[in-house]
Amino acid sequence: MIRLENVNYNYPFQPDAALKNVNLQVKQGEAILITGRSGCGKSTLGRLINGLIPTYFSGSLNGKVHIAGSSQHSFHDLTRLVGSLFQDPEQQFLSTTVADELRTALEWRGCTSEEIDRVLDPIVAQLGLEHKLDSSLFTLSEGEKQKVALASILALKPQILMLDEPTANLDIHSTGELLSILTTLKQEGMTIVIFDHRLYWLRALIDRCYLMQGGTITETRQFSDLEGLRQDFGLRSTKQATLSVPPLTVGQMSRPSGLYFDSLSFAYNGQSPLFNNFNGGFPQGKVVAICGKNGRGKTTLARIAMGLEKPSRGKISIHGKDLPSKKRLQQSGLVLQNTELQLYMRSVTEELQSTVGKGLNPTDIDTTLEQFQLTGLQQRHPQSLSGGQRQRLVIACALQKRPDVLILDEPTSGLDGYNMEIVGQHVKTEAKRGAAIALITHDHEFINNCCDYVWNL
Amino acid sequence: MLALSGAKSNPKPFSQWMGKLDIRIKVLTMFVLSLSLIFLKNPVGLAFLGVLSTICLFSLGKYRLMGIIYLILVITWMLSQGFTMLLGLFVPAMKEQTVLQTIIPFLRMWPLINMALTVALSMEIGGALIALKKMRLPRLIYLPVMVALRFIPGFINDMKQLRDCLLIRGISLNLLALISHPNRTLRLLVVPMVIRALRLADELAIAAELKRVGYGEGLKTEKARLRWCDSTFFVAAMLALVVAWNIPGYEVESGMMSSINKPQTQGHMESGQQ
Amino acid sequence: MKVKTKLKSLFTWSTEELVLIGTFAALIKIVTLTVSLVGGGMNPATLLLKNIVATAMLVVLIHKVPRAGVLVLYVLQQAIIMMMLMGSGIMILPGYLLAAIFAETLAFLVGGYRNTAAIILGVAFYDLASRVISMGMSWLFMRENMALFFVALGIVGVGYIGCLIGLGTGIKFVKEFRHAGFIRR
Repeated sequence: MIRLENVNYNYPFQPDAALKNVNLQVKQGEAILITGRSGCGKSTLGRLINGLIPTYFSGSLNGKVHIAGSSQHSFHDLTRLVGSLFQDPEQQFLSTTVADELRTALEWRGCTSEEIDRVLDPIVAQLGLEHKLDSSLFTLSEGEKQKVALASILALKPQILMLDEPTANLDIHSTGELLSILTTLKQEGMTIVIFDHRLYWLRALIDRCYLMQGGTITETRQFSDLEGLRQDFGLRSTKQATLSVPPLTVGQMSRPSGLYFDSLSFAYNGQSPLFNNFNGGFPQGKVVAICGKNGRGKTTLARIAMGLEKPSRGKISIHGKDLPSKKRLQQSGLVLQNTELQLYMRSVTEELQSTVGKGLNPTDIDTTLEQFQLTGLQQRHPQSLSGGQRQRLVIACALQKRPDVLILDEPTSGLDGYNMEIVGQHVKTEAKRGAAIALITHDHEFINNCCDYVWNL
Repeated sequence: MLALSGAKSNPKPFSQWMGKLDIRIKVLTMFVLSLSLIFLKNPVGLAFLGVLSTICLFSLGKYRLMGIIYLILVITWMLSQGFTMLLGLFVPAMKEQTVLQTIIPFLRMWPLINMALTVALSMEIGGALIALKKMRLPRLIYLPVMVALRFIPGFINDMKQLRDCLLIRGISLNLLALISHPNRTLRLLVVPMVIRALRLADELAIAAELKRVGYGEGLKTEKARLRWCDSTFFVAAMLALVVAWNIPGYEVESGMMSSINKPQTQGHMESGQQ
Repeated sequence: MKVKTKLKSLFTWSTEELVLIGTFAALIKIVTLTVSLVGGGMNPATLLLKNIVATAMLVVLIHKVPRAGVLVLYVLQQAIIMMMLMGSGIMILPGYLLAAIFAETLAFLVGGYRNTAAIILGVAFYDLASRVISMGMSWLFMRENMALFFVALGIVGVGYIGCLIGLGTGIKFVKEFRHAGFIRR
């Protein structure tokens, strides 16, 4: 179904090859995993398979790319043969309601309304979207968004389904649902190609794994071999992590140290209250994982703590002192998911300096960059870094401030195993220094790695 | 603004009715209204249209916004009155302007602002996108407008996030910051936004390519037909215009010339000749 | 034959280019609207800021999509967005389109959009011509009250100063976006 022979590819204006001598063969009905460290060339390989290279991304391409038995497919045909599901499904929506989004691609391929209904009805039923057809795409949960994106792909009846980090924003329940859908599709003969760092959920699905390094496929292994290769390839664990961290008790949320919410009440305009007379907090010197389904108010709680949302009632204290929102903001750090909105300066050095005034000397900067595996990037524009590099820089900036309270929202999305370890180590060091740290995350492996307590909202 | 935020806050029945109107009808009505208002001089006719359009806007229940807009109109009028007096010191002809002359432009803007707000506040982006698709415009026009409309709700959310992220870093973008550090403030305002937009544009372009929007065999879905409520709205708006043109009233001279306030019994004849 | 091919290429745009134009049309509309709402539309600082930002972003857009017709398409998109979302803008569209066509011609005559000076000249001319046309429309609406017309003239004048500053700011941003790898030409 997919055959790549000696493929080399350079992006325009880039001296280094993004893909070097790549060979790959996938048969119909197989499910394969392509993994490796951040920046190893996974996304580029994906773009080659779905035809974006060379149609959308120009550059120099050598070698042979056979998809569904031919190397002569037009891009129009390839978009029908290969369905691509992105990490953030919102990226691929072109409409605002579920029904309209599902119909768009078929409409532009000249299908009549009756034909569209005939194609969509069974897919909508299979994915359980019947009651969501009139909903706005912006009101759906992450799991639901992914189902809509998947349904709009399946409507084109592709022969190959390509998924790029599909579970990065999903909770455990939604990940399970996705796995069950993919298993059914595989049984029906669909060829599945998955690019992912999170591996635990793939054990029952994957036939073969390709490991990439520096733009080339260096190993082809069975899934069961991956655990032994974690160190060499910076992989995440292949085993389903069961939470081994104790829950946070009322006694540990002691008022004198750390961050404490006293009789907190909060509701968004016209909605039922998220918090009603709520008492609790994060203890000093500890790392607490905040878990719970989407919509339970995890990020809202972080925003209230930082003074970005105003509670209708209640007080918030740091180390026993009731503080107004401005003071809390000065003494705290918050890292949100969207890293590109958190970097503003012209170079990585300027970015680090801006967090602490001019107090950082070049040696401090070099040390910090080394600790976060960002050496050599001092003069680079922060927005030109890769997603993983940006994530680490944002966290490094937040830590430079030496905050009393630090909250990180989904810090491991897009991070490989090696970089996840690095972030985990810094979080633990910061807690030892005396900061109260909260991590909003669904990632059990990361929680076991660096958290002291779990708080289920 | 409902249309821009994509939010839904229990719309009132009139708002829902307006929201369902065909975009072509709204555009056509606004066009005829704008054109008529240029030539209509009769203050009574203008006031009549102003009152009718105010009732439309009032039915949407956005009283606070109405209050702010009307307050701005009053302040602008007072500003122009002050400016008239100031100019009168240097240009004697300016002294001869009557209060009615200074009010006429506001009477002209009043129905236009009301209708524009009524259309804007009752429009939903999803509806606009569907209407756009059914108009079967060429790819050159359809694709960018579709992307723009799809981009707006997400981007407004991103801007809120950007403001929060700057606050977290201890940076606030206000007038004081703009005056004391203009270059820095401007950069902090524009650079992250443009970068976000460039990335979003890239993502949307890839999504559009993969869905082959604007290519292929083209749309075979039904063209939207005008419905009863579309025609009703247009006929009602045109009737209001005809009535406004025919209301007996006054003719007010243009520019700095002195006004001639002569009562008319057949005002429409005068108006028709203007 | 060459003319025919050139004319054909004028109407052949890639998805990437069209999406960029649509995104910037929306971006500039949202940002200027937000600045007006937050700063109060009438004060000079807001007027300046709004126009600086809009012109700077337009300069960035043309550097990203440096080909004839980009300004005309941008004006068309903005007018349609305004019509669809705000019910306004239809009356000024023909005048603005004319301003854009003249600006494009001027930019073409001084070397085309591959040349930064041509971009600056084109945008500066477009900003000026579109304002002159707006003032013509304002006169039609305000002709009974010349004082109000002069107030509008003052506002537009301050706005144009903002546009001129925006040209310089735009060039600065282009340099930064080149450093960040977003503009490659």
